[in-house]
Amino acid sequence: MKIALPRDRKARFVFWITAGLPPLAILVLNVLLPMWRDPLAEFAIVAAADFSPKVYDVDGTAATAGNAAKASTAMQQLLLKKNALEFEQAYLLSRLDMATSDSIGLGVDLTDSVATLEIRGVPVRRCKITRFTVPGGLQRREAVYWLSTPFELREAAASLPKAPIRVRKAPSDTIEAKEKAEPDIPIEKRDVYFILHFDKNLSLAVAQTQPTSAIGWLHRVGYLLERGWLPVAEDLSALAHLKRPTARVHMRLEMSREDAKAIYRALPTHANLALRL
Amino acid sequence: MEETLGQQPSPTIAEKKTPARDALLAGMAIGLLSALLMLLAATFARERLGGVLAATDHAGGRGVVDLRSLRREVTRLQSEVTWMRRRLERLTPVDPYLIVNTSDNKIYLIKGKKLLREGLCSSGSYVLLKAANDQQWVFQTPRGRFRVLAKQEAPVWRMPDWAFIEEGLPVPPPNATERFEYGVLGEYALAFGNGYLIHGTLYKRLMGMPVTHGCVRLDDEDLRAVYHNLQIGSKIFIY
Repeated sequence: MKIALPRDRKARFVFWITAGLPPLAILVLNVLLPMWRDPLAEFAIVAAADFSPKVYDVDGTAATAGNAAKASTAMQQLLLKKNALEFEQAYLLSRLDMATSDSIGLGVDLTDSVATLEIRGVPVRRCKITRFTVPGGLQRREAVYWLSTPFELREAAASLPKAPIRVRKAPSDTIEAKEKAEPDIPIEKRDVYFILHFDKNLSLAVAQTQPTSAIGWLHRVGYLLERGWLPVAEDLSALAHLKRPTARVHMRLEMSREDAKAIYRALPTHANLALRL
Repeated sequence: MEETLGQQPSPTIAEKKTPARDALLAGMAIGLLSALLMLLAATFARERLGGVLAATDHAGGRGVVDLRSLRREVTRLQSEVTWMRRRLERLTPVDPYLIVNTSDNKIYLIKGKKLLREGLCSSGSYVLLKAANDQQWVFQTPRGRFRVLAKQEAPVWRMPDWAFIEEGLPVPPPNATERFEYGVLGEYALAFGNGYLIHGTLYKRLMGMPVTHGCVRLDDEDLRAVYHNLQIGSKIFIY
């Protein structure tokens, strides 16, 4: 099929403007601007009040933290240790905060590659993270502030239902009646992929380590569409209100299907998350 | 309308606007389509790159450090972290407690950091039972932290209304004799609130499957261990 462009110069101009402007606007507003926006910055300012950064005394020969490479080896090691301790402290603070709530929370420790389901601070299930991807540029002080309070779940999309509810009408097809005839026990073998959108601009995608089954692809496509739609809806809403779309930190974890399922099913609607980088 | 001889008739207003209007419509259609594609692509582009380009260490040049104060700061942080770790560890009960995993239908009886017993259980079936009079029940095991509220030997099941509705039987008065069923809950039962129990079962072949009305069914051996280790007030964690 050949598409003929209008010969008229004015018509051509109108065509290119109307065809080019919408995608260009989306590119600028939804890709370029959010990419140049620091998703952590706004929380650093809020958190700074109760987790204020320390400013050290000047002794004339001291080096700045940003120029750690130039400092002595001892200084470098201390700075690295301090950094690690600050991240651990933020994680523990977050977990302690989470422990005050009655609901089930999730602790993700990327240093030890472990995700833990916790109830009132008691670890009830430890799940080995086999692989994870985290965007670069998060090992900095702003991230410590960002991580020092728990994240709260806002939205989720998954390839499996939150609760495998089956409807039965009494008394014709009840469990006991069925049991007498033949066992009707569902053995769930669905592939597990889900994404959790938290407050403070964090999104956590979890995928099973096992390869996707043939039937699992159907569920996965549905999940990918739902997953893709959530940020689009967010972007459209931002555009409608003439606001700049939010920049998000996206993390991806891989773990066994059983662990991923247990985590997704256990987390309540407004679950909390503690994160250690 | 007056026409001059020898001159081409000038196009009407509608004819003049046609190419521009067509171009506008075509451009809008293509523009909207590509904008939609761009929106979808933007989602995935941002998942890979979002926010990272903007990441700068704002604190990098904020403070000036010297070795002595840095050591002091590290020591302070170290002691704070140790204190926090201990505080979190203290949240784990010292006395035996039970973890029920409703996802895989397993139980873990733990004392301190020692696993005393691991076994299968049966938890809520997630059946939504709809009765004719618009009543409905979801047979789901509650999640969260609970405590053992009562312990009973040779428990008797007081059948709730849904047990009769489910079977298509008339619901008897609250204390009618037909509500009480003997021997179906095993040797022991531990109540953890709202009528939910940890008890034994006659349906042992269904252990490890989600088949109950919300209670947690255990094998005889596991039930014995749980009953003897958990006291009134002991914690039960269900997820």
